[in-house]
Amino acid sequence: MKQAFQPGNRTNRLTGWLLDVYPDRAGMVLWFLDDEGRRLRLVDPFQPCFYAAGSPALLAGLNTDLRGAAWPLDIARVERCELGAPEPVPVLAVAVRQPSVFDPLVRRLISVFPQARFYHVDVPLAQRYFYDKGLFPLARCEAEIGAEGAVLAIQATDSPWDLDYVTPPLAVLELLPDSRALNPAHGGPAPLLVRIDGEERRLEGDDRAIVERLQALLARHDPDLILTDWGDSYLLPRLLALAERLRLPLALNRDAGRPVEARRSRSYFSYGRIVANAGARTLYGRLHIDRRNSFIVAEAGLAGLIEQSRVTKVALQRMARTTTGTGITAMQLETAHRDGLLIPYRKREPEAFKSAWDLLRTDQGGLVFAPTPGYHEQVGELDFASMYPAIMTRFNISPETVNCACCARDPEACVPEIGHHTCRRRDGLVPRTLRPLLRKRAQYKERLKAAGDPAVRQRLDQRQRALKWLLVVSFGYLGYKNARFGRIEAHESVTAYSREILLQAKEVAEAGGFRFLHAIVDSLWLQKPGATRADYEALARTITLRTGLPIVVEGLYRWIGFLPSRVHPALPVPNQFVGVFDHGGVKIRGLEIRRADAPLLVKRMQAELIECLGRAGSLAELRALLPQAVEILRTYRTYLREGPIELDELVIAKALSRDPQAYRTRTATAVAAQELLARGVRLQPGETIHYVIADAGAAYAGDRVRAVPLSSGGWSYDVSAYDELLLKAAHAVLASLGMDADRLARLSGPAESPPSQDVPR
Amino acid sequence: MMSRTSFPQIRPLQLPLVNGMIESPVPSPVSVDRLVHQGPWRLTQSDGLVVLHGHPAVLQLGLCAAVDRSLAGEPLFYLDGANSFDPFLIGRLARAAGSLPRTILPSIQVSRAFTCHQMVQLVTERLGPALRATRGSAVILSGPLETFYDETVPAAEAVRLAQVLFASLRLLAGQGCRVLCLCPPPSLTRRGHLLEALRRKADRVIEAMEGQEGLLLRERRAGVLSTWHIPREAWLGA
Repeated sequence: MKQAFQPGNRTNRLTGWLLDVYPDRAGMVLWFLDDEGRRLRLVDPFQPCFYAAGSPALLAGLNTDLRGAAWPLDIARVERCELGAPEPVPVLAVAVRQPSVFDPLVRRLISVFPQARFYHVDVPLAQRYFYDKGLFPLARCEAEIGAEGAVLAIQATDSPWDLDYVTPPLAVLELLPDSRALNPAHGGPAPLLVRIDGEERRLEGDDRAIVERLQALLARHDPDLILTDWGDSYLLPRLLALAERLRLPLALNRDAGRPVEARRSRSYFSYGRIVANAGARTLYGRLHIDRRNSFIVAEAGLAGLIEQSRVTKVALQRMARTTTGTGITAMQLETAHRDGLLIPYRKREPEAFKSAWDLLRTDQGGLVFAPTPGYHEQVGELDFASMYPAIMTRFNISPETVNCACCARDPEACVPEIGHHTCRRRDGLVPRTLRPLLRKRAQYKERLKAAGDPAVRQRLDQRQRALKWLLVVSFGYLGYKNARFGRIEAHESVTAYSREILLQAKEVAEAGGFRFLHAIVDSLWLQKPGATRADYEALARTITLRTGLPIVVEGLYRWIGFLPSRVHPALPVPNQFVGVFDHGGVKIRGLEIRRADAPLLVKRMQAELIECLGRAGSLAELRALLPQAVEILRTYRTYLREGPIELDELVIAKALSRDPQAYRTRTATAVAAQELLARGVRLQPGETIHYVIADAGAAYAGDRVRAVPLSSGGWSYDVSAYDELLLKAAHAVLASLGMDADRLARLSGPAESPPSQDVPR
Repeated sequence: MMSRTSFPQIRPLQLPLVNGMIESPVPSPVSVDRLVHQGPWRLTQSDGLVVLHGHPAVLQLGLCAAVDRSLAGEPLFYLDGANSFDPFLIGRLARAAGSLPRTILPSIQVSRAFTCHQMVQLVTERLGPALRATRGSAVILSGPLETFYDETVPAAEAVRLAQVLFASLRLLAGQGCRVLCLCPPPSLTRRGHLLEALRRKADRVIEAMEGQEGLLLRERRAGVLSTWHIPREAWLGA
């Protein structure tokens, strides 16, 4: 049963969940799902505060300006500390009585007083509210409510660190295009599908009918969560535009007094590649999650998203769309806020000058031992558990603890190799933030080992994966430009310790008679004839004892192949391998099967081929299976020539590495992008497009590939080009078993292939 | 009036295999001598503020200028906004010039800025004291505007900060410092006006572009157009 909150003068006590929080004129608006099934709009009179520092004259001018402002403010002179600063500094503390004017006010001040240093100005107010009230997204709460839905008191009755929390019973409406198109914005018809209460409806008819039917469904079901595919970039913008053009109501928001919030798409660099963000359409009073525009939903499902949102205190709709780094930063901001530290607006502190010689010594990254190429049997893999975060907590690495003033002479504080030291007296902000994350993930993993119910296993796995991602990015964010408390020297210290620890692990393993085959930063592949799991477990315990960092046995391989470079076959390549564990599981890195841009046909062939080889228990058996592997390849090559083949099997996905107009050479990606642009499709750098190879050797570049979805007519594909991809993918696995490329091509199929295969539509 | 300096053609670099690994190519002494000691980007004259812009390879030419000053025994400050500082390349150039990397690298002081706020802080607050402490006067800013192309920084804020940066650079030049700014093409085209503004503040502006045979550098000074030509192999090898 869903009702509006009945205003009155009586005090109410509510229990339930916090669904949504956002700033308003009178305070923070809270949407509350109570235990009676009501969705209530409450208002908590919250006054967020920011700080400004500068010369006395500057602060006096700022004070005068603020006292003349149209908005009610409370201004005080106080002293506060920045992270790592030896002394507090005098600052102006400004409490804003109307949270809705907080952002415009600070924007104006930053522009009018560029010399001032501002603090606490760009932490989203929902997060500030959570920090101050000890709440978090989807928290189970008790609240005391007065007249007009005013919150008199509110507190969480569960904790973000609980393992057994109950999520609210959300009413979910799914909205998605009923289309096989990979991205509806790239073309093709896309009728609308709606799923709710276990039913699926196809909204058909003219534009007016579609908007009216959707509005009726929203009014009848009043969903808490609208779950979409392509909602941010395609569905919601079009539906809203349609409703506006037809002057029809479309109550996507539960809060009727607000428009749907729109954030435009953008492209940015991440880990050396350009990434497209499809923008956002976020709601007030209910939640919108676009499964196609959420890294964490793709990686860890809704359970993972909720887990991240709870521990980071980043509102659910924002967490779904932002980077994991924003999540870990939010956690650090909370630690700083709790400590009473100032949170600076933008990072200003640059790296200290160091000589290029010192840079060469310190900026080295993790250690990699190149693999011994080829196939090996009876191999064990040991992995350090969350190595970098564990190093940060064990060695107290944090921006304010590296090269502190108090421990420079303490030999125990010295970071190996690079001359930095870390504080031995004060626990750093980063370790304090990471410790509960490491603990919670370890607890989830323990439970996962014991869990039998597949649904429980899936939920636990999604939650631990969500925490894993936060831990993974915590290292990168020590050096990342937008990390508020990042510092490059802290980053360097972590990698220096990791190199030392890997060397120690190598020494221990070799002293125990293990042969070192390969190592990448935090993973080691070792070999010892006749060694059992117990032997590897004993080795792991010895390494943990020596290094102080937990290392676990990832598994024992029946066989593993470290595959050579495809360009220089004599050279080993780190992190390119295929191995079969003793329990039959397969681990693959660097092959087509793991690549987003390999056609489905190629992935399927490689998967089948590896599955076939996976039956081998030893290298001798592996070699004996070679004829069967070649037969699999032959089957696929024949299928490619003779068909009937589906378009989906041949589609190649590529991310645009730049603005589509900026391609200088007519690569396949550039040609496909141009075709889409010519059809009126809007593309942005980082966006993924799809195409099939039509005729790789065509004299006119525009004929070489065709963008998917296809515009019209039949289609053809280049058999030779796809045949080559199949051969390359098979050769990557089989080359180290003595199968050269020519022999593989000869054994697996006919010598000649037709230039292209026409497929009627 | 036009002058032209051409670099000699250099053989394409081979990739020798040593112990099964590809060894980094070592540029030949001829190309090093040309690249390091004879380019217009050298910081030997009292040129004030020099902007070398246009082609992404300007970042590598800046490293050549750094090696030139180091070989001359002069302290150099390298402010890196493009995360382009490559000590390995400097080491290779040093070796090719007959010096050991460890004799060159200590004289180059590096600091990397990852935000425009850091870049401004670096130039306005940190550089002056560092120059005074070492009596240095040679400064290279690699990609000084790269951090200003960050879309998360509002355009007005980026412009305001860029003005602070430019004023500080002019001040440094006015105090006798030699400042070389290396500016690859703007990655955010709608903020290309920042580069134009920096060009207007400069005492010398050299434009680098890709020609048919390599890199072409052009400078117009007092009505005279000077050009320099660097064969492709030379700068790709570097």
